[in-house]
Amino acid sequence: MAEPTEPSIESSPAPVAAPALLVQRLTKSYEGALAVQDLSFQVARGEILGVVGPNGAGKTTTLRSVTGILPLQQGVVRIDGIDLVQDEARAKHALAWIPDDPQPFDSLTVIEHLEFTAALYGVKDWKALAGDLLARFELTEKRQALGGELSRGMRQKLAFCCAWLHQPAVVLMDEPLTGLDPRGIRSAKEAIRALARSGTAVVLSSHLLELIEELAGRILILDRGRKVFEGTLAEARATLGAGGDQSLEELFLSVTSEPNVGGPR
Amino acid sequence: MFGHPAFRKLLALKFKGGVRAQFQKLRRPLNWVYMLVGVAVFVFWYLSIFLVSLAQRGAVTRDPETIEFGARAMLLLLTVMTVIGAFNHRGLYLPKEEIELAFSAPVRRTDLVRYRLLVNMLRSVLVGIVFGLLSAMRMPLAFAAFCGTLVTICTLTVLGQATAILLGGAENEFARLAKKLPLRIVATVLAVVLAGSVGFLVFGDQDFAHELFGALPEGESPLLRLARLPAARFVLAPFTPWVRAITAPDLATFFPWFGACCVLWFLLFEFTARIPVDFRELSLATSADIARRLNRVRRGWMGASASTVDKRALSWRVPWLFGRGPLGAIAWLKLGQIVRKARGSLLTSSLIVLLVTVFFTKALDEPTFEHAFAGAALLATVGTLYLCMGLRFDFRSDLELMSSIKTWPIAGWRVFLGTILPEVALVSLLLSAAILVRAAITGAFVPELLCVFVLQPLVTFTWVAVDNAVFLFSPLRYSPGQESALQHMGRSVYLLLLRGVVFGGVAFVAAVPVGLFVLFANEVLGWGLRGIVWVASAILAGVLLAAAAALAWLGGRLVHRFDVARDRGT
Repeated sequence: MAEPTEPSIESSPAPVAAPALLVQRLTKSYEGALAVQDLSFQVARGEILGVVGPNGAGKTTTLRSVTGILPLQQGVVRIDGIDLVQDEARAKHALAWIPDDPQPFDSLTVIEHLEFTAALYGVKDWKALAGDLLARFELTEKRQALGGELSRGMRQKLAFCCAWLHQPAVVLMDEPLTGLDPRGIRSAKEAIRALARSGTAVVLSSHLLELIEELAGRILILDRGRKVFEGTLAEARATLGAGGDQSLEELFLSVTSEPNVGGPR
Repeated sequence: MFGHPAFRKLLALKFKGGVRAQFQKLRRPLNWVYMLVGVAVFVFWYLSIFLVSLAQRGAVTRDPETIEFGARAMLLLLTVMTVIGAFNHRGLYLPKEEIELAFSAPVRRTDLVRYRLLVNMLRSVLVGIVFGLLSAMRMPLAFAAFCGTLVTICTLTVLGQATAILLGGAENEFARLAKKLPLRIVATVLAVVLAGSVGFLVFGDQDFAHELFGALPEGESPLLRLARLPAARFVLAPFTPWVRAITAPDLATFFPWFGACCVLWFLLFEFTARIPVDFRELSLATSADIARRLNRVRRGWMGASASTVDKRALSWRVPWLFGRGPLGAIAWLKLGQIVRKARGSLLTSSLIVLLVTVFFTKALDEPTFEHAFAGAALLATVGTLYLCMGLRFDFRSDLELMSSIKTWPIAGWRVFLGTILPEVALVSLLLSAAILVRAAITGAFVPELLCVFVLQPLVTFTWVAVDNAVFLFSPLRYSPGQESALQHMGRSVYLLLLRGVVFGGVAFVAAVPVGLFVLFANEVLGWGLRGIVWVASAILAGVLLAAAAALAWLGGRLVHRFDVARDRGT
């Protein structure tokens, strides 16, 4: 169970409009080694936040803590205004998670994955919505294919469909474009933009800096579990760079250390 | 009580998917054959239990006290095994495709536990039916024994899960200490200590037991005397409701105890679901660990080959046992796997073979020629069967490499030989050592042991070659949790029959010249048994060599025929 949170966090002034995702003073350690340290950020509705950092920076640990996969050791996470520790099931109802390597059920068909997801999130009349999603992600012809038969890219597309189905307030994605072909990448990018336009907050973690640069309104740079920067690309150029029009890659390389090989993700 | 409706739906969908997968596998005609044989074996197995129970009913006339003590002792054993097994699954085990989904879904953890308990119990029902049939034939009232055993097995399943979660909680509390504790070793030590204690109490020094527990009460049998010990009564007392249900002599006695067992099962079920332990991190670790192990098994790494590479063995130089040519290179590759992955298993196997050899030699042997030769031959045969199951390094673990192997500029038969010869050499080496140890103990270093040393590798090669030829012809790999259990069972029977045909063929071909020679040697030359053994062994070796050559040729053809797009082992 998460330890009691510090009073100062609880008593901090609430934002004027509650963000879709609020993370305050998140700290996570593995066997004494700090993977994430005192991390705070928030994402507004309709916003795309890009999370970048070298290997071992704590990106995946952060996302898995926010989704409730890992228990919160310290800090506060509020999803759509609901505290993840106080009301876990309701908070998770407003959330969707796309892991870096989605693992569908070997013996379930594509459409059965959506049927199960609809039951899990209590989505009524899911069939029409599922049909639209399958069409958008070019999986209509694969609706009867088994999870174990899907290629890496198709597994990713199926994960998108399942995440989109219950129209969550917050979607967290870890390396979402891995394994997709160019057409798949294009439709995924378009789908992410459309999701944000519909009011969903999107947190996008990726090593593909061009993708973050293209999609994210704001970026969060992590290094060894700590926040190095949070803001827009223009702010990053002004704060971290030597001015001009440096790319995110140049900024990234200038503020982060060498990869911490073997460290926590 | 039955958890979140979505997980009940998942259970139904997975069941439907499992049935569908069975039918999909039946698209290949050979899988029909495997499945039919598997079904036949399964039905025969269940029927045999049932018929034996029918036949033995009435013939069993044990007194109620002995029956009750036996049931209590069995329950103690099953409980200890369940608790020890929980050390391997700390937290709540969820398969890798479920765990992140389940933990990020809007589902209470109590419902996740309920879902998992239902899955485990559905699996344990099959075990419960077998145990139920077995106990039905030994207990006074078959119906009571069957139902009582079934509810007992279901309760033990829940107990195992509760223990795993509580162990997880303890590990969370004492994380650092637990990390330092080698829990598997602790579990093994506990099991050994327990087995040793039971063994000592039953077979050991009675004076010591007297001092510890007081004088053994006088009784009709040692079992009853043990049952009447106060310590035994104390330890076995908690099993009373289940034992009374299983051993009930009539329905009037059975129903109240059975009702109590059902209530206890329900209470334990609900308690387990509500244990206030956050098992998420442990479950993630357990799930990843089991997924890694299953993946190794699914890739065909069975027995010792399923182990991970032991880094301590990296400094060991792998010898080029079969020369530096192409065949030698393949064998060297395989030998590297053995040396680096099976270091522990090799030591364990050597120890087991040594202990068994010493024990049986001490217990059974006499230093005569007949005993020396027949004992060595028996050791070589049984050792081949045992070691070939555990030290399996063959084409199963190379399935993912087949697309590379197919591009190598080497004849198929060389690939076949290079792949299986290291396993044959390893098994032969161990068995030769065991035969020498045996000869040293008995002092019977008869020259005819050379015949065993020559014949054993040929027998082992034939045994392994048939297995690999069948695998290359129809590469079906089975791992726990797959739906193809019946096909796997059928395939094993089919393989056994095929091995019987091959060895029967060898025996048949060798029988004619051996028979003629024995007649000639006895009648005309007046040779004794030892001379006949030499010549008969030489003839048998010749026939086995011919069979080995034929199998190597066949294996080569099968390597050539192997289609990497079609033959994917599933």
